[in-house]
Amino acid sequence: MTTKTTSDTAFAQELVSRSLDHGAQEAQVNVSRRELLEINFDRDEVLLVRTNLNTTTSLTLFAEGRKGSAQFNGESESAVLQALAAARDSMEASPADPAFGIATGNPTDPVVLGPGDPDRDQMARAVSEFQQDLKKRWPEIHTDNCHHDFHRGVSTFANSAGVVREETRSLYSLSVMFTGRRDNESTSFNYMGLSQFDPFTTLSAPSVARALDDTCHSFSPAPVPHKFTGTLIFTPESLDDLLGAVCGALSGYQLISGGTPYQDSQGDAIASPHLTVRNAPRDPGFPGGSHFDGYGIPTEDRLLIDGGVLKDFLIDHYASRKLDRPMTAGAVNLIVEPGTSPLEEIIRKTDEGIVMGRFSGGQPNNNLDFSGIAKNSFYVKDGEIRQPLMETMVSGNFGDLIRSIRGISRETCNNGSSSHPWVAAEGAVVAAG
Amino acid sequence: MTQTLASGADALQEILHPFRGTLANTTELRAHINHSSRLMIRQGSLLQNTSSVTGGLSARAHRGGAFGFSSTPEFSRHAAERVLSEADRNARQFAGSNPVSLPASGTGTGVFDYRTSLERWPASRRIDFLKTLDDYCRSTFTDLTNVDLSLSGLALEKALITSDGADTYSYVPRANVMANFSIKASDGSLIELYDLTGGFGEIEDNFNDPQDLYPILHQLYDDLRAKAEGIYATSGEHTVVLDSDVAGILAHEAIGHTVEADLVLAGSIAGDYIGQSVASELITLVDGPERGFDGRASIAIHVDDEGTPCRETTIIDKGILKSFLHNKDTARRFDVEPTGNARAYAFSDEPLVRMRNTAIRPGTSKIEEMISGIDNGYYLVRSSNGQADSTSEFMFGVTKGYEIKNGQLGRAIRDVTIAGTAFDMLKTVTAVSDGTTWSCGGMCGKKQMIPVGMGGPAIACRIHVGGR
Repeated sequence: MTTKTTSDTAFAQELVSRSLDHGAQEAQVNVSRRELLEINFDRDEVLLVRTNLNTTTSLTLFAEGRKGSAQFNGESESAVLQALAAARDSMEASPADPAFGIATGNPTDPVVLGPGDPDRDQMARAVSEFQQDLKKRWPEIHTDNCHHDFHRGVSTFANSAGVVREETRSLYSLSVMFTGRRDNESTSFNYMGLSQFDPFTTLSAPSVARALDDTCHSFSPAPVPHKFTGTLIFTPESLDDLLGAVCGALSGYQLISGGTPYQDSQGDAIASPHLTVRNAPRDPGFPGGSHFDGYGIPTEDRLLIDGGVLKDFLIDHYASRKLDRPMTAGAVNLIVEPGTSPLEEIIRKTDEGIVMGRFSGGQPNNNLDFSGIAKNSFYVKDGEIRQPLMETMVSGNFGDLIRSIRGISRETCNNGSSSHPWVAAEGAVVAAG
Repeated sequence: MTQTLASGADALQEILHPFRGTLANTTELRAHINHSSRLMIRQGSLLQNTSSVTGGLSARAHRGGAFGFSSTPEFSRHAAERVLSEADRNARQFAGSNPVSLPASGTGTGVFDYRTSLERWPASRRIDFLKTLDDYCRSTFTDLTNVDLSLSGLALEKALITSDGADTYSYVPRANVMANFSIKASDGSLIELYDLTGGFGEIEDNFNDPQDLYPILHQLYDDLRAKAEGIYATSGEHTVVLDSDVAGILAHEAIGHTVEADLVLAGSIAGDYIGQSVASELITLVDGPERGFDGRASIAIHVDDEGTPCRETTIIDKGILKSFLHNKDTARRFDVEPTGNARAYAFSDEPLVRMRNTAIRPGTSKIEEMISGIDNGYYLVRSSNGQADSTSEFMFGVTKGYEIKNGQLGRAIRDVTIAGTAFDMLKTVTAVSDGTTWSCGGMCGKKQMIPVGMGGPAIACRIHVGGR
């Protein structure tokens, strides 16, 4: 799409050198160059075509155990000087912390993933066909803020230990948000996003079609007939909503705060034996992954939870030095391993519960207690989906729920940044809102 | 050649002014810089110590019914020509033969510069300020399991010219300190509570001596202790008093989003209710320009990012739904005047329909009387986040609240969720307090994050509380 005026690697290395000239003993620089082509549309028209080009640079300076950072965009000398001064001032004012410092490492080759330039014509065709599909297959759907994008991102890292990294990721993505309308009734809004390296041959991908179908089945919702404690069947999307809380509880920063229920649980069974979760930022199926983190450390694919046993926390470079524990993760892209049961069977074995499409609520607290609204959800009784649900509150403890998982589907959904199955867990409290 | 990054009305307008009078219909050219800083301390460790200045030029063109947008991080005449050309090309790729034209409302002018006149704090003073607060908290409140403190500032700086004749500059800052405490309760559970202070203006306008914040920290600690020994709310429908923080987020989430005209076009239920009763007659809800109806909201906006002068929009007038919030395109579709609600967060963002300062207008009741009039209910004071829906169903977390028993405040309650359908719940409002408080923070997410003003009076109503 455009031609770089200067090598990002050379720019990053020059900034490292200038940081040392500005009083740093160690320094690291992250340069992130992003090119975007975005087609915004609704079901009838293309509304906006947006092209962006931006380069964002983060400088971090270290001296005497102190640290200061500044961020700027573009490559102007004025912006560079301003950022160097701001980072130096922050560094000099910072309290000392022995955990501050850069990483060392062996050289790696640049990584290039995805296509070069966008296929603008194919993108336009895909949008047009999707618009036709919406009108034909889902005429009751009204869209808002849908966009089909091509991103090319070049991430470059350099530090004063001579570590240099470069990764180029080009990908296509789709984001759709929509509501069902029938006469004077509106359903809850729903949304779906996904990304892939190759151009979309169709934007009516299975996960998108599933979400659109679910919305069309959500008219005339009713509340649950009574309050009950039962089965929560997480869709891949609602599982993603809540799995973030578990990742938070496993993060090095929660270990630092002393506020995680898993403080001393490494090696313990913290979940059902059905549950295996991998962190896989290098998975070839994840355009949203990364090959190195913000410290220039190569990422790794690692087991987090293996058959319910906690194998690893998510500890980045700083947290590992702070806690004096091994570093395990600088980036997070989760895969929940599929099970062997078809989703149909999981539903059939449910006495009473809900299929929860999305969870609307705050992140669970440090105890992993959660309380919120089940959106785009369906009531299940005696093994059958009975009705779409309105205004349904769900609450419980997510730590307890992952211990009480009784079924994991063999079907999965990969959105380009994570891959999850459907998961059925017992013990959630469900009540009419 | 890449131009230097400059700040200030003269600097940004100098880049744009050569293009005044030359822009084809309908075109906007914007120079935009976001300035931010953030410090965060946890358990005495400085986890975040950074500042950011990011900006660039953007152009948006409307041709044959479609918009085209382009942006660049460069500031130069050549860069401006490039984004104008690219925006035009992008629009024409999908321009139809439909010669729709947008309202020529982008005529706003003026300089609205709210940067501080005080001497700017160097990094050392900002860090010392936060470290002093952290040292005080950890030495005074020794039974806390965790202390998180942050000091942050964000200023949006924009210059805009449009083909309609707009020519504006604005610099709008906001700053706050957040404190988040955790404590172990006697039942072993970990309880958290946060508070936020600050508001409109830079860090220097809002803060001076760390000791000024000690009373707030002591109050937060006392509230946390009470919450730790508190009870769980009983789930079900209750009569409650929502204090201004909770009422403010309700006005924003549960009503404000449903009346954003782009969401109405996408199926929001509000589209069916215009002209109808959706609330008690006690409710008048507005979305206002400048610093809100009383001049004290945490953001200021005079002209929107399409150049339309902002005017106050009465969304609900004495219970009747009166208006949606519009940009030029939705105004065209609804055949009304634009309301000045088009806002963009970053230089690379296109303007979207966004709220400004959204609040219920104050009434005449006293909070003490509102509480004393409830036999059995709750007084809900502070919210965490919230979400709304096309159906006007809403959900918010409440992190600070109290039971009401026989007209008196009782025990504190643990974290709770409240939910309902806004256009039903608002009809249950029986009192609106006579004061207004604005939240000192508030960021809204809708494709782009953006600062918003939220606040208002307290209201008494019936609402579903999700307890145990």
